[in-house]
Amino acid sequence: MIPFATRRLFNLFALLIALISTLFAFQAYSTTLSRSQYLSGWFLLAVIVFLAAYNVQKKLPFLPMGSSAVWLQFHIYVGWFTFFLFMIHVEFRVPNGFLESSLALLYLAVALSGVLGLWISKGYPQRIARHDRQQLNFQDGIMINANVEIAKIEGRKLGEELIFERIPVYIREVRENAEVLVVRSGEESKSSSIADFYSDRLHDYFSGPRNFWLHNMESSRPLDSLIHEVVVLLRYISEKEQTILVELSELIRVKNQLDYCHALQAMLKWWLFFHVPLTYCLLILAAIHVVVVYAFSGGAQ
Amino acid sequence: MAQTPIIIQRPQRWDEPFGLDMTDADVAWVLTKPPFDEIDASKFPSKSSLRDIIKNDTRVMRYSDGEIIVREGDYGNSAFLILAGTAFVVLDGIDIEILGRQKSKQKSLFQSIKQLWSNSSVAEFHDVTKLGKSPGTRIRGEGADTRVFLQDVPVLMERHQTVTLEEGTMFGEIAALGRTPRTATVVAQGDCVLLEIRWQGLRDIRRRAEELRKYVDRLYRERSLMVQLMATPAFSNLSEEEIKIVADNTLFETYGEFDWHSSYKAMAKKSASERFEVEPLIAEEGNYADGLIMIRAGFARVTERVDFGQRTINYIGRGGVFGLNEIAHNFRFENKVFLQSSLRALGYIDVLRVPTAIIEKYVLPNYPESKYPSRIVPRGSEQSAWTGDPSGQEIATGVMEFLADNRYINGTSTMIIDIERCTRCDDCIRACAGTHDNNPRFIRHGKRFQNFIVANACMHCVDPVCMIGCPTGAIHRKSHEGQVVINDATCIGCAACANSCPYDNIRMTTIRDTNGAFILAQSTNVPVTKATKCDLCVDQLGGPACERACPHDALRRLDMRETDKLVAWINR
Repeated sequence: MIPFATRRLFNLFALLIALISTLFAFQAYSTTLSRSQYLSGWFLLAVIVFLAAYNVQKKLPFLPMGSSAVWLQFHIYVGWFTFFLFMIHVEFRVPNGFLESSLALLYLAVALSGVLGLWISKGYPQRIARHDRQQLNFQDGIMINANVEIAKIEGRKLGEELIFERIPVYIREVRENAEVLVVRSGEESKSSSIADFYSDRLHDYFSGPRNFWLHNMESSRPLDSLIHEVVVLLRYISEKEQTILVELSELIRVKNQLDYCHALQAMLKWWLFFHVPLTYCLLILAAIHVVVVYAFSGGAQ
Repeated sequence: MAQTPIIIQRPQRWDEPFGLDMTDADVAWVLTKPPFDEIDASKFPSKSSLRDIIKNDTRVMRYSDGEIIVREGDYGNSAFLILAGTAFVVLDGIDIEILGRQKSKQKSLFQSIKQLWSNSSVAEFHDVTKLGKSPGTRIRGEGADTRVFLQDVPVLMERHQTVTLEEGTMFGEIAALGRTPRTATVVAQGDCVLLEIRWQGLRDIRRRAEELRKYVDRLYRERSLMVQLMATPAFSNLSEEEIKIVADNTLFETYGEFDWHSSYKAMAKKSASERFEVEPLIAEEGNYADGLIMIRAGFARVTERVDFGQRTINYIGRGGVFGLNEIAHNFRFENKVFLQSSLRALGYIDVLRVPTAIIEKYVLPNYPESKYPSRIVPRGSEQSAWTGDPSGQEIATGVMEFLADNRYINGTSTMIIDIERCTRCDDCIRACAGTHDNNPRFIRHGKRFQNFIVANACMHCVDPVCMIGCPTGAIHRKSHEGQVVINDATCIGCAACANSCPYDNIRMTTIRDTNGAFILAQSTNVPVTKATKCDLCVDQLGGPACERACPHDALRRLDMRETDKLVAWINR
């Protein structure tokens, strides 16, 4: 089994060889006085079609077309290679004209979304796993705190991770538990402090996934601010209410954990909704570009 | 506030007898039949008398002409004794479709591509025209009482080599005691009455009835032991005569609970020390190595003493050996050593013990120098629980404990997911669905250790307890030690396999027609269910789709017996 570090080094080396070879090839081709933009354009288009074919490979799992992991490695490194080809094609200048500029911008958008996706795909799973670990404490071999609460709510086994599609269900259950606590606080203490706090600050918080961008930026502000308000409120309420509010604060933590997982897992899924449609737009615009180039080339090659 | 404990009667061994209809008259009748009429009942303790064993661990089964009693390749936990009538055993194999199984058919390239448009848009769509069809057979009864019978017995007997089993013959005992696949198919010849003895009863009778024990041991020595010894690398240099001497001196031992799958989940929740207490000790660290131990069936945990506990350093399964290093060391060197580790049964285990004297006389003198175990340097008496940096070329102790405690060591294609690489893209699920008529056959979650999870996907176990008790033979292996698959056409939805699976990897699904409506059973008018699970894409080109579909190298199907591959994958 090839270690990841070795594979990465090999791929980078192969990329470097490909870049140098291509540069020399185009240099040699330019000595023939042919317009190298035609060659680079077709080459670039072919490579982009190859990159887009990865999506087709994913749609045909029943065909022995090689493993998706190998395809992804090609996709990543050939993707870097296209940027070099693109620069050769535009002759290292800023394109002019509406169609050319649009095409260049679209290419850059696809490339950047790909780079962003790569960064997300490499970093986010580790963040989710690390966050899960940070939530776990061990006491006599049993995990406690937020994860136990989540596990209780969703009836899953301890140590199992959250499935994205089930998160809204878990959130609803957390909200129902919170509402039970709020009603109990009113009945037991004859005070509306917790109910008011809930309706002002927590009702929206428990209504669905929240703080998407803050969690993506690894900010602890959403949780800190609510916990701070809980701490302040604890000073002014009765002992019975304090017990209930402490229980409520546990649910706030649970919800925060759910929000965090939702935000990161959503980002892991949703970046492709930019990358893939933009790729198809790029292919369509590239086809128009080819037609226009040949229509106005006047036979020049 | 202290809660009042619930008081119940302590569960007893025979709370659930094997046969509910076993009457005293039946027991009395069975006791008049051989070999029971020759067994000395006084050798049995009063708490588990021979009569009690017959009443609770056996049942009288009546078969009609042509009904299949056991199938070749099935796993079973019981043996049979013919009380009246005859049966015949098919010696040269029988068409697997007659046994209720599917023929291996890998899809062609066109059939593979066709899945692109032919996959059903309805969840769990099943073609009703193909259900319940098994050529040459018919089904009687329902649920667990279902019997499959051959339509044309004379033709089958004409075409195959068969041997008639007469009244008083016992069969199926080796498979029952050793948890090995049945080696032949047995069919009722005319109406016959059989006594089915579950393994616990057979074990107890064998223990106290010398004649029966000798009979079973002789059968095993004749049929299986020689072959197993020859396949063991340690004996590869012996002649056939020497192998026979080794076989004659080999002792058979069994440890642990045969039905480990029903209690292991509860055990996994207990503390390590509590678990070790109930795991039977086969050989203890510090004792003299009195024999080479070979695993015939089941799993064992190899542990070493550290501080105040026991640390798992390895696990071994069928074919594994224990104690060879110490015996070889003592044979060659002056300074004698004792066993450097302990061997404990994980669930049920069947072992062979070849006495040290035999190993020293026949095996070690001709043992190749290159294969000789290295000299043992005994460990100090004080062992620290800290093993040092666990990141290395070996499986970390915690991982080993996790795999052994949860019995994942049973898997030959365990799905392991690295959650630090998994992007939760669900490409694996989509690929699984795409290759199974749009129905995914696993769930991407499971127990977690470090940054890995063992997903809820069929592990195609070494010891496939799911295969015990399938009344139609629908769940079967594709080949010897091959993938465990379910023949949809002959699955009757009794859920025996799903209930037996200790890992919850078999799911019962209600099946639908082309319009999405439930398919109802004619007799009961309730929806028909089928057992479904991962088949490791046995009919697809290119192998398991889930593994091929993972873009991030996060998912792998691994054989837990190959720890080196597991280590290599973890330390990529």
